Amino acid sequence: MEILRKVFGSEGFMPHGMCYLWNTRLIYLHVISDSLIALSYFAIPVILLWFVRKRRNVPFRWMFGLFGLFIVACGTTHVMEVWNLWHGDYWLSGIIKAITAVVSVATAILLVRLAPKAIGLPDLSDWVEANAALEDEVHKRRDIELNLRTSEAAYRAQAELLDLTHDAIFVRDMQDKIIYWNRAAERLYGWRSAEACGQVARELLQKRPPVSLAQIEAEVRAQGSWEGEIVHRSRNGAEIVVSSRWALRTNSAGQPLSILESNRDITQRKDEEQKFRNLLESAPDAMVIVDRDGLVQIINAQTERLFGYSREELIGKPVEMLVPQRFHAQHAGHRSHYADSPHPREMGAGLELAGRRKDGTEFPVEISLSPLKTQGGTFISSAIRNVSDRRHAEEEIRKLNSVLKDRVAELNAVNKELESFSYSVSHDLRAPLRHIDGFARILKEEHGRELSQDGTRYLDRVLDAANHMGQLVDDLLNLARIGRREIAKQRVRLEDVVRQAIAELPPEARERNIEWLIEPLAYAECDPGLMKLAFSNLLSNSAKFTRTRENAVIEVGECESRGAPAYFVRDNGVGFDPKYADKLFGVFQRLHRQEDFEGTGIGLATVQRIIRRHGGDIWAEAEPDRGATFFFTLGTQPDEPSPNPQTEVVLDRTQGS
Amino acid sequence: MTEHKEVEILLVEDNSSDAELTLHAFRKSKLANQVQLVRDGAEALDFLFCRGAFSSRRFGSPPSLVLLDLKLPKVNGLQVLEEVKRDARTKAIPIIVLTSSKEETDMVKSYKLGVNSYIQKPVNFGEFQDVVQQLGMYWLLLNNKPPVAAFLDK
Repeated sequence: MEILRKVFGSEGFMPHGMCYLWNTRLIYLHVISDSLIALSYFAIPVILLWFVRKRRNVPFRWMFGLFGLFIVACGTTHVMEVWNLWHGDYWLSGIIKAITAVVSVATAILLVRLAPKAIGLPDLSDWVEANAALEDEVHKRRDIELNLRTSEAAYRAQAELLDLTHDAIFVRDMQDKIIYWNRAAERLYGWRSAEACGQVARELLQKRPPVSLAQIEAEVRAQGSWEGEIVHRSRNGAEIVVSSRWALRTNSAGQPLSILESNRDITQRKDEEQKFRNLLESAPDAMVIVDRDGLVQIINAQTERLFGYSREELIGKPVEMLVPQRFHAQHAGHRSHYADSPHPREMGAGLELAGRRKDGTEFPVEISLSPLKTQGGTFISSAIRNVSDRRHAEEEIRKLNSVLKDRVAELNAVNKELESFSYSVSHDLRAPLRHIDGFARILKEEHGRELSQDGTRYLDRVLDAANHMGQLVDDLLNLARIGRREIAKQRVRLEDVVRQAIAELPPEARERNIEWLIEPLAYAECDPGLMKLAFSNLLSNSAKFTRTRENAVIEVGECESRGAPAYFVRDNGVGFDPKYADKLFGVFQRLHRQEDFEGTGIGLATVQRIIRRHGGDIWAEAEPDRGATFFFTLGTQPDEPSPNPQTEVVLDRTQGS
Repeated sequence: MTEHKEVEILLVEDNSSDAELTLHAFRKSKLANQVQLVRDGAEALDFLFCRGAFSSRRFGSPPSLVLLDLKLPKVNGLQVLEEVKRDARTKAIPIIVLTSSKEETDMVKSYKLGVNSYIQKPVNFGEFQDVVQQLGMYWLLLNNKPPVAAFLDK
């Protein structure tokens, strides 16, 4: 307590003011100055404290604390100076000074040690500069970040747009690795984007380009783009023809980064093109398609064959190459006229057109023209046919025709001759017969008594001969007439024809006891007059050759031969040996002696001619003494299949006419 | 040839044998006296049209019957027929074609020209005699001759 009293007590020291002699002005000077210093010294640590608290990252914080303490101590010494003016507590002020000294020394020592470190610290301007740069950087980063965000959105939007297009689009880097693959590419090729990206494009798609891939790559690198058709293979192995466009992407320095491929599927178009080409190639004619200017666009193989030019020689050239020189001018005129109003038609109707081969030879042609409308404009398609063969054939036919005409004329002349011959026969040959008969008869009747028995018999022979010859002439004329006559076919009930023929038989046949068996015969297409003549001949034949029979039976009926209706006349007469059957129908051919059965040998020839003129056939079956059957058909009948009778007895067609 | 003998039958026949045989048949039928024979078509026309050697004849007294052969020298039978049937003065005279031929064309032409009958001479003389007799009987006895007015040029 004593010590404390000593320290804080004045112990009797005189106040410091004494030294100043209490000079009021001097005292004020010291009081005011020391007070201001103390106040300032006390203020500084407050500010430092505030600064340190605010700037937590200030280096050497403790140094600031020390500085504060040191300044407070210094301030306190000045407060003590004011106190000591009136109080002589010099111990107290000495102690405070000592404390201040300790703090000051410590501060000074620490400061010395700190100084080299403090030198490395930037000064304030550095700090300001660094701060500015830092802020700048911060702003830049923020901009970039913003930019990045917007461009990523744009990129996403663009990618989405690419997904909307119908073309298959993919991007591949310079190592041909796929880095982008749009929806259409997924659809076209079958791989998902995730599956395709990272693959090597040429391996994935097994590209088949028109020229080598290396060549295309080179072109893309040099020119930045390429266009063409490539064959790709899809996931399921199908070949896809695409119309491909490539574009090269580079960085600002011009370094290639990637290639964008846009592919349009033209497989169907190619298919259709192929079909069109196939159609063109399969055409029997040479097809030449030209544009409005007459330049050849497309030809087929037939054109190459026909004209001797190759495709390369013709494509793009004027079509007049295929036209003889002398027609060039007019052809060009006609061509442009046609191009103005094209419609399908024949070229040069009624004119003889000619084509010109590469070797200069010409040949006759027929040409049909038709317009071919395409998106690229109207083309003219011409089908050219070499008609040399036809012309030759026509020429041949003309020649044959003229020969035929000559023959017909000759034949007509011969026919005329024949007609006048038969006219003569009918007049002139009969006249002497009549005279022979007439005078012989008069001789016999009026001078018979003057003749011997032999004389009368010879005269009878003369008369018989004349009559027979008269019959021959009549029959021959009949036969000739049938050949000349037009056939007038109509629908006839054959049964009626048969009954009429029976009714008109010579009296001796009708009066005989003959059993007639007439089947109901169907209708047939025939000439009724001629058919009656045929039946008359057959029936009178049967009547004649059954003359020796007590019970003569003559049968008329219908049967079938090779699916066609056939008719027959059968008798139980003397018949004939079938080995002579081929002679039956020949003119003047007889199988019996005149003494046994009279006849001219013309009757059956007449029947055959009638049947043949109907398009039918006649044949006979017989046995000696067992009767004979004559069959015949009547050719093609309406509603009936065409008969082709091949029968037991086949008659030689060359006979008998 | 200019007698005013009434001619019932004009026989136009160039062949002498035929003519003789026909006349013989007429004789047998007691018709021979009234038969006039001419030997070709021209003569037949002269007779029928009262000209040339027959100019003294008159149209008013024509023959009752003409037997016409078709094959005749100079003017043939069809031409004779045509002229007679075309002329009003001779048209009514009955004309019978009596010929060897039975050609259809001849028959058609004859009938179209207006022939009254067409008969083919049978080769058999007996038949011929019958034909001639029947002809005479029919045309000269049974048939009414055309009245004179039938021969007027009207």
